[in-house]
Amino acid sequence: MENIARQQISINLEVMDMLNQQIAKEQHSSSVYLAMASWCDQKGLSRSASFFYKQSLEEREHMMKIFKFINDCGGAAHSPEVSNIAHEYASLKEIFELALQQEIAITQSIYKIVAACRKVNDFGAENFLQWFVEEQMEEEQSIRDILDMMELMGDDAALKLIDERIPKE
Amino acid sequence: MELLFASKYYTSYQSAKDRCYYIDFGHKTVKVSFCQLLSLRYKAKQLSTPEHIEYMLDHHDVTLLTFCDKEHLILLDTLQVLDFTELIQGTFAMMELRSVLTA
Repeated sequence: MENIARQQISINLEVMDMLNQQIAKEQHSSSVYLAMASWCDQKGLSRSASFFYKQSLEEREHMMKIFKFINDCGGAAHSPEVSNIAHEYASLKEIFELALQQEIAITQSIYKIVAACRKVNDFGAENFLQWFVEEQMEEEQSIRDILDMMELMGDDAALKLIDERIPKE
Repeated sequence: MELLFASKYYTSYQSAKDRCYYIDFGHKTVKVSFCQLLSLRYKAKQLSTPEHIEYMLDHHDVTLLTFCDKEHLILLDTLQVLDFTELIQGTFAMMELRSVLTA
């Protein structure tokens, strides 16, 4: 009996479902960064705002990369709904702490998909995800560096002085 | 046409010759491509969530299912939604089984 499904799709369906969930997470992450950028912009923290605008764009690019991959493999990518975006933050430090938490959650999610790929022998998807594994390491590191800088400057440092030290990238 | 899976109300088939699938809904048989079958899988998942089932039970116990780019429209009650979900799950399980057997 011929397996015509395999001729039309080269990705495991369980992995495809997880990647669709990842699309939603990346898009949500992009929207959260946009809200953070807006908060910084309104407070005159231009370097921090630029940082988060760029982060927002990067997350969207990640989302698009996964979206295209699913469709290229013959699967069906689904455009995600985005809701529950907070726009109020207590401080710049809180924003960066939340950003790090978000990046860690995304990293863990990517690891889960890689583990699922290995379980079902979907080597194509696993290979595709290797770029994300590396990228997440860099994302976490860049935010951790900023939090370290804030720690070094202490709680009494002027916000503007901290903002001037946010990397332009 | 080769039988893929049969649930209580519905049956799915594949046709290697036409490179497509058929779903027998009882009152009509619909030809679907693999992409359309994937779309039905997504819809079946959405329709069978506890939230949607609860919504159906509170609102006349019916839901509309459109598919194949709105070419087809069927009315399902809760039992039919659950049965349709079983058909889709069974159909994809059979495809996966074939994939393992033919690997």
